[in-house]
Amino acid sequence: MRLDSKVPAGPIEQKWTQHKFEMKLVNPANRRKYTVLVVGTGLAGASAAATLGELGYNVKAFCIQDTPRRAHSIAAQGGINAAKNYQNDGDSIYRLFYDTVKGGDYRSREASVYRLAELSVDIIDQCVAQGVPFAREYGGLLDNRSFGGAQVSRTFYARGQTGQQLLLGAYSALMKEVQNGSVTLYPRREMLELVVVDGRARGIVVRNLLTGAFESHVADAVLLATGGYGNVYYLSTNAKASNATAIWRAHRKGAYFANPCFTQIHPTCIPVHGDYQSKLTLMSESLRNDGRIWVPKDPDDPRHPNEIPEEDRSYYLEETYPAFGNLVPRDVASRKAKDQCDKGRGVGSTRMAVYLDFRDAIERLGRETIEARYGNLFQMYQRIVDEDPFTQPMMIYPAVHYTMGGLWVDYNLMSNLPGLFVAGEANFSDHGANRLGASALMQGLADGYFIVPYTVADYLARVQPDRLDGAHAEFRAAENAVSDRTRRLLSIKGKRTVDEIHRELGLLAWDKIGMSRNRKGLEEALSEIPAIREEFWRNLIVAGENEDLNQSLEKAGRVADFLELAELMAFDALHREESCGGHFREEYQTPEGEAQRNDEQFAYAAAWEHQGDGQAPVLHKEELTFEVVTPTQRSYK
Amino acid sequence: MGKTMNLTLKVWRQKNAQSKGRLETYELQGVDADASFLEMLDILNTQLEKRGEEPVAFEHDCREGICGSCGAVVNGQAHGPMRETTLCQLHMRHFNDGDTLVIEPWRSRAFPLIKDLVVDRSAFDHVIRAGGYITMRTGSAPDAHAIPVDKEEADVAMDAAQCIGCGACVAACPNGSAMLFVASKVSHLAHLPQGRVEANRRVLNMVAQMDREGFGNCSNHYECEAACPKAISVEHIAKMNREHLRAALKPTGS
Amino acid sequence: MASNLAGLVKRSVVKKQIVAVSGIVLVSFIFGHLAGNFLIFAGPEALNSYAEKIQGMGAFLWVVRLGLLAAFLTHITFTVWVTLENRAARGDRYEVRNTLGNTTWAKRTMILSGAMVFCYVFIHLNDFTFPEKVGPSTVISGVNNGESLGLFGLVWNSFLQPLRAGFYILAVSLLGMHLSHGIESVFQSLGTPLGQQRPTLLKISRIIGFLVALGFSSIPIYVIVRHYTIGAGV
Repeated sequence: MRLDSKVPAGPIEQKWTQHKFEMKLVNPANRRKYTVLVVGTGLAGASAAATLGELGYNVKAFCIQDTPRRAHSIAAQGGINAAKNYQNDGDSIYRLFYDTVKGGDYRSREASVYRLAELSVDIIDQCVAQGVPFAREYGGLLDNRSFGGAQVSRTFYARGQTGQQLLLGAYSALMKEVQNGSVTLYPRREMLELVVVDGRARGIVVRNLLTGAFESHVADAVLLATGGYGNVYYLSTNAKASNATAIWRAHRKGAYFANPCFTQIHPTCIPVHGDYQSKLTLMSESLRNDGRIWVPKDPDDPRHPNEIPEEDRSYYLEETYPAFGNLVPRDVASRKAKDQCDKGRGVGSTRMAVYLDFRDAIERLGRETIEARYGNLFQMYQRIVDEDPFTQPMMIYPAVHYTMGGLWVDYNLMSNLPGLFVAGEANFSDHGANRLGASALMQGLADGYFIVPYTVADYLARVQPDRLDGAHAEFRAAENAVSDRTRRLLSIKGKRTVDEIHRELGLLAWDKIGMSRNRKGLEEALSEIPAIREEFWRNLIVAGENEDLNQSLEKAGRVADFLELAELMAFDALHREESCGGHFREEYQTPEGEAQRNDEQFAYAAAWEHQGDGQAPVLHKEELTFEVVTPTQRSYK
Repeated sequence: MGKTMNLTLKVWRQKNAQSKGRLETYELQGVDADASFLEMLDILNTQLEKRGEEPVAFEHDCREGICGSCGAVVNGQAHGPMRETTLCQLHMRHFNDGDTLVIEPWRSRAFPLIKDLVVDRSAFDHVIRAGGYITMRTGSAPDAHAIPVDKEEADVAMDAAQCIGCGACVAACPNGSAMLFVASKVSHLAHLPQGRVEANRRVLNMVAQMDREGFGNCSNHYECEAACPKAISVEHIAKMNREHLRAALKPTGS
Repeated sequence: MASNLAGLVKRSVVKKQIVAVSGIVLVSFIFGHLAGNFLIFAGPEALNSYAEKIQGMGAFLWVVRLGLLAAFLTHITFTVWVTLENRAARGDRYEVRNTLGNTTWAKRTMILSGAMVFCYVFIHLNDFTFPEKVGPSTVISGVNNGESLGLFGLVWNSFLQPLRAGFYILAVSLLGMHLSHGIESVFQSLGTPLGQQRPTLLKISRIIGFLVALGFSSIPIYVIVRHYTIGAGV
């Protein structure tokens, strides 16, 4: 089946404006009659819930944390892109659009990306009016920086805590609506099932994480804004509670999962140091603006990095990519670091790291400037590694960071299930096969503040608010299903903890569905993952009970879903016989070792339909047509 | 692996708010000095689970010091002995082999205990709900450059806005006061022209809500500042006091 | 907004500001009192005529006294109120008591030092304010031909009693300690922007507290030292 992306007709600059006009509106007096569930309160969820609340809909917002303000958007450091062209350096909506399509290696939907670029300017206005304390210049106007390889300075930032400040802005808007009574907050709730009635998404079942109660919530539309699935890999820069359960449960109920193999590896993370390690810490890639990446030419160079002279260092990115140097896109920077380590040139005790050196930048700009730019990152590094980046090079290594894949959505951010909307990292849109730096925040807020409120209204205007009861058979069945599953997890009483099995899955995923993939590895993954899954359901130990705060039980449910999703990722990666963006298949590379796309065969988004346990998923293609930007081989030489 | 250490942990165990809690002693061997405090607790929990015991419940999420989920009082100090450090960013190298660590939850009437080291901090949400925002609707904003903001004021606003809502200020305060938390939001918004418009209303409502939640009063001990992982200054409390005074003295209708 | 005065008074921030303002009144009195006390160094004449001048103020004196009393009662009422609330807000105590280094003993014992100073005020009034400034207790033997030296004599004789002098020094030391935090607190509670000057204020506050304690203590010490060296005679 070909998927209908519902992209409006007309020139790309006009599509969204025209579409906004053509969409239906809901009479203000009737809005209270419609209930919208928003699952997740990160940038996308909080901004959508707040805006829908302002418009007068009856909104219920759910989050797994104790408060919406802790959603993982908070950890984004670097900044948010917007085509304001405040720097007069040639930026424009078109350029941001172009860069995003190109950066995504031509695997994104043009019309959606153009709209994202278009909305980026409104986001900055919105956030400033909310009181987000962006960095400013002495004249009182906003400061920008260049970020992650962009050749214009379009990134707005709030020290190294841009995600935090944007999230707190969205959170404050959300709390304003909670105070106004239009949004009801349900913290410490985990969505465990989507309820579909007569082909429409009509509600969810959540587990109250304090009491273990399974609660049904009925609605006219459901919005999932539950983030990405990077924690499949166990070690990632995601928060510990970040999980795929909401989208995976929706997928099992019929929502298509698009491009699951498009995962992004972030090049500047603090290397792994021990097997007890619970997560990886990212440092903003703005570090690459001034830091120089190198490894010793001699893999066995025993000297301290400070004592290795210039001629014995290999600045491999600068050598290979003279134009972009250390600012090549994330996927390239990551893969090249892995190459170096695979060749035995890695540094540090695990030999799984490369140097990121600020010596020259400190010499050129002075310690003070470097401190002003990266002080908090240096401090973070020193705290974890116990070494001072001012006096010796940092060590970095790539880590799983973001997932471009997610539930398939059309131009209205609605999945193939009517009434099920998906926003932010949870959907597959906009970033194609690789996301540019400082674009995740932009997408989350564009979806939540400016797209979903319109498109959800359009959907609601076409359906009648009816009084479905929580006692409806589908809700009863969903409650029973989650209850059974929970009891099953508790009754295994085996020998291995959730973390142990999750770690095993993570290692496998990192090795075989990680930064670079090949047929053999993917086939192995496909045979090994079911074995781990079997081990999980046979030998898991979860202490405690359901009717209580039980963090092991929560984790167990999430890992159970990761164990299914990982298989789909491998399946997708195997089927996509090309390299593009974050998906690098070793069989498909140019003679220079660059990703070799296959536009003839794979210029589509792969949306997978679940067929039941043990059944191969069915592929649906959304063909990607490029009417404005002509796909070219990405080259950063 | 770096150097390892053996520790005696005394961890507060309490099934729920109704039951009585107590310190439980655990011996932990061979903890890597490079592990974080939470990873040390992970190691303990894995051992407990393997023995069929319930793991210690503790909140955590980002593990990079920004989400504000984690926090416990270690040997009487909120977030442990290091300044400007959340528990997740505290590394075991700052302790010594053979140390005894007493680990307790945040204690304050306004933060009722849920389980073990987990407390209910929803009082913070209630305070923000009472006014910790700028009243504006999505899409109604003027151009971001329409109102220039003094860089120094914006920087002070950012200093205050860094609050992660972890609650260490309340936990460390001898009075269980939330002044630093509330002041950080009041001060953040009061320093920006966009936030000034409703500054009076905001400070009155937020302080009133803070009091209703059962937090204590400020006695200027400044333990909050010392405990704050973001080093938010008590200068912001002075700012809030000033804002409140001004708002309270403003005659109705003027 | 100000219409809801009763509601405002209950606000944590306002309560502390009331404590601060009443504290300012009391501190002003203490400074004045200390300045007056120093007249003892100038001899009986100076001290007594100062005391008589104050006594002669009539109705105004009572206005001042009632004002002081009001400030005193307000200060006490609100601090007790705040302290009781704080105790309740703290909830369960930690098993391990520790600090992060910003609080001090003086800060933690404000209510105690205040209460002790409060108790001492009664002793003080009983010793020096209420008694008639005539009779044997105001006579210093060998000075002024055995005639009354009024307040000067009363003070002199009192401080020669070790217990009285000791109590006095203890009380003013507690007062000094109270002020060492109290003065700084006044600025904070009223919202003075201090910025980089905050540590300086802290120092000044401590120095003032110390000087007040030293200033008051200097009187009994002076009396005792002088009595046993050159004597009270001029």
